[in-house]
Amino acid sequence: MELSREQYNALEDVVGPEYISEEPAIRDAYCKVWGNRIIYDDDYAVRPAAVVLPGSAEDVQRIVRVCNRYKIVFKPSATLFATGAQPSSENAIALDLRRMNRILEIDEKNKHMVVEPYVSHLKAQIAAMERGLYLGAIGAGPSASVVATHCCFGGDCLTSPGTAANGRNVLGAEWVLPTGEILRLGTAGTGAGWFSADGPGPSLQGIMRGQRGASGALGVVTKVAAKLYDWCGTKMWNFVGDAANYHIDGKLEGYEIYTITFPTKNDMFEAVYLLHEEQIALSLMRANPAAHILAVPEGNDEAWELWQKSVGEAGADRILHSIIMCVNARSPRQKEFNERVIKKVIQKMHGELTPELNSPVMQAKNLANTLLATGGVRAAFRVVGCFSGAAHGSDSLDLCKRLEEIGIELEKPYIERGDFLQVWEYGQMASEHNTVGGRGGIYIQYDPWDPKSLEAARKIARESPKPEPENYALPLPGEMPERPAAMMGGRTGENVGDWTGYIKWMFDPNNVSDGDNYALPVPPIKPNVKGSGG
Amino acid sequence: MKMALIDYEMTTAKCSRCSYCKWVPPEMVKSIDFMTVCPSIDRYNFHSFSSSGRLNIALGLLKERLQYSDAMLDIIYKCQMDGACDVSCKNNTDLEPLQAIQELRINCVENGQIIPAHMVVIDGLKKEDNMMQELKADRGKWAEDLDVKDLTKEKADVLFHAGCRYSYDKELWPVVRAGLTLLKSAGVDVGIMKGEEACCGGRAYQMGYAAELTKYAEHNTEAIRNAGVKILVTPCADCYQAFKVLYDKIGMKPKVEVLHITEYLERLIKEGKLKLDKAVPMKVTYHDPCHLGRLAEPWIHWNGVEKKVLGQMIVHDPPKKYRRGAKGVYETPRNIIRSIPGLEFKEMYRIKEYAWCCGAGGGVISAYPDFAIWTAQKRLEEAESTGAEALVTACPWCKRNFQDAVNESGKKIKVLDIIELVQQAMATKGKGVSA
Repeated sequence: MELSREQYNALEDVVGPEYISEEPAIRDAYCKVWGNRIIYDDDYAVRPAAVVLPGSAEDVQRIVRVCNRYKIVFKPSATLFATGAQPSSENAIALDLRRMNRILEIDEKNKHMVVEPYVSHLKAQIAAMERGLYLGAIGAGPSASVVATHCCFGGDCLTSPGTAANGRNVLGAEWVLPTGEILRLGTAGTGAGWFSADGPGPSLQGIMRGQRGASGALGVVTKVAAKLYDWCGTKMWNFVGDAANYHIDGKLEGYEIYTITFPTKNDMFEAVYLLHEEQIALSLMRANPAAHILAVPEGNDEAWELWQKSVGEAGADRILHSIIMCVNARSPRQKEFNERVIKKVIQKMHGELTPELNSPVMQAKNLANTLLATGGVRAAFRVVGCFSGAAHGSDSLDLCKRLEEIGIELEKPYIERGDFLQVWEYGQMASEHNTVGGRGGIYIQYDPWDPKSLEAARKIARESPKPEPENYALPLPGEMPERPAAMMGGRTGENVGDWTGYIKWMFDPNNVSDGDNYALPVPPIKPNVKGSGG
Repeated sequence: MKMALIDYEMTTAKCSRCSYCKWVPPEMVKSIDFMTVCPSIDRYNFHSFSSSGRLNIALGLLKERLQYSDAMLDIIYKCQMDGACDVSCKNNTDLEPLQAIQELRINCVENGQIIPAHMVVIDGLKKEDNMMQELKADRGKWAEDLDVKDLTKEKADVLFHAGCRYSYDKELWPVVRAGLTLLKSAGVDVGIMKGEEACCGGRAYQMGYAAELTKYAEHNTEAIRNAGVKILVTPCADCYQAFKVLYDKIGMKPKVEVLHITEYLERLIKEGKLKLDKAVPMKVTYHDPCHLGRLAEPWIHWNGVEKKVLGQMIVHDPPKKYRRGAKGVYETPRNIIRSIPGLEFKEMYRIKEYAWCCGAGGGVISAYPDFAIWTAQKRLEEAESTGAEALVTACPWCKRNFQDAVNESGKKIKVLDIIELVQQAMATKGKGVSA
């Protein structure tokens, strides 16, 4: 759909001719991203009407007001690395926030940084590390936007045990509401600085992002204050090697990484409990035999060779129940304590530091994959083509374990038919917040250009909410075949979908902030919205 | 095996949009001020101006979602084809973005989708065998008064191929003359083709004119054979990459050793035939020319099939090696620089396979000179951040574009070819070369 000249001119007045385009070759770049085939059965979603590049929060505010005036739907994105970041209708315009890429403030004393939407995790991390601070590593990888991961999407961190998930690290945000008003959350709203998102100014963190984020369906977040943690290493990590083999040079002072293998699943989960109780983990991930190996070398052929050489089918069972844990230490005494805990847990739960998984090469790669999240993107897309989550949930470790069991049963027939990557017993468990809890379920790796594999991925995404405990088991919203993603009726709790729709209706009366990956507006007269008050 | 755009359809489809192509490989980022690697997306901002965006255009054309337009051609050609995106992408993937974009350009040319500025250059090439819109008859003028063998009439061990830029850019003549003189002073039996030297075809290929590469590869391989030389040496990184990599890619690998002049100079220094015995008290930094660095990685021929293991994991039979940028000529020029007495060498943040481009490549210097200069200015800022007095490079196209950027901005930093540096570091031999 084309914008009218009046509409186009109104938008062009805001950003100038250089930063707006209706050229199809430009618009098409905002409707193609991994994961589209499972939803749209095509590489492409819906081509937006135009692409606009605002340069400031004020530009965003003016654009949003134009959209309200003309009932144009808008969809903001930073690197646009998720299906849910794409515009959903031909009447929508894509707001590419790329020009808003500044680190505005780093408060070393109070440990936070204020950034604009196009500041990537890597950029933020390098700047933080220079000051002895650390942001945490996001599974989406180093290119992902800090604003997107903290305020708009899932935000699960590889380093959640030590740094919490990104959504819990928001100390303030500047938010252009769908009506065009600018709201600053918490202390920033009273001019007292960016140190708390929960007052004395307005809070609304829960509404801004909730558990999984609104994906740009409730306006545009134009700044976030992100909490920082101590960086325990030398000033900067030092990667060496050539393009086929970047690796951390020797040991990284302050950080250790262990791959621990257990004889049974129960032993593994018991060990995770014990490790959590001691609160020593910066990251703690369940790792399956294939994942150990396949993300490490530079290419699939090299990975396959390494797999055959170091593990092979016969060896897979031996390392079936494994975790990769990264620990950091601010002092020699803390390091010693960490080592004693790990040794004791290994001893108690019959674990083993398997030599082939703890070689210097594997340790260096795993450390980079953990601290910088370089391996996730490689594993998710290179090895097979695409991935999806199924039977996912965040809660107690018991639930993680249960979800993993559900997921494994669910995927078994598909795996046997060769529809997905053969991953043996691939549960996925990333512990969070150094509490005895985590995120559990399974990941499947499918080839979206193989019709059989794609259909299987679609089927398992639809099947996964059905087993008990149904209130928690759901695929990741971005990969759900049905839209709008967050309105899947009660899957995450009783009438959450209705309430989400009601909030959407309240905040976005003209329904201009693209809600496809979140919710459509639901007026309060709907009878099953409890306590809405009409 | 000749490839076409359709052969890269899966590369275009499989781009996950991770945006790695916009940045230095994450492990190697050392400064937030110098962490981007693609001039095109940095300058023009819309995602289409990234490698990912261009793959998207290629897929759109293949699927007939998109039709050619002037705006699309602008996106396709506002790219230096420098391959930095390719290195960063392959940090994560088994894709071939640069090859796909190359085929996109070839597809454009084959379909008559060309831009006027390139047409002028190619017309000149077709008529006069050079990329500089100059007369063929003037090609050998740069060496007119030099005592050097004419390989159209005499025999020698080594062919010195000056390249189009050095042959016609008079401001750069002192550099190319010095390069040849250094070889002669080291006792190398060297000659040139004088007016019979022809373009390598490499730059035309990057602009999408594949037939020109084949034409000049045929001509040059025959000329080299007729000259009976054992070694071809060139001071131009573009020519080096064409002779070494592109000719091999199209199955016309010359049957002589191909060396960039830095490789030959290093050899002569090691053999003691060139003595760097004079101190050069200067702080310098080094710019890796794309065509000497990541793009000079040898071509890898592969002929096999894709298969699936572990259910859905895609592997190749026989295993396929990807050109990930690791095997360019990186240490050679650095070794020369480090061997110069009194010289202080400081690296920039973006080096080797993830170096920022000078801005001249891919036909950009001809079609979008402002963009070429903008790109060079960004590199000069990085060079200045090291405190260097001079930016050293090893390619006439880089030197030209950096020098133009310096002239335009009034920056104080000097731009030197490594040949000039070697010349300065020699107390006796190799001196006496004038413009």
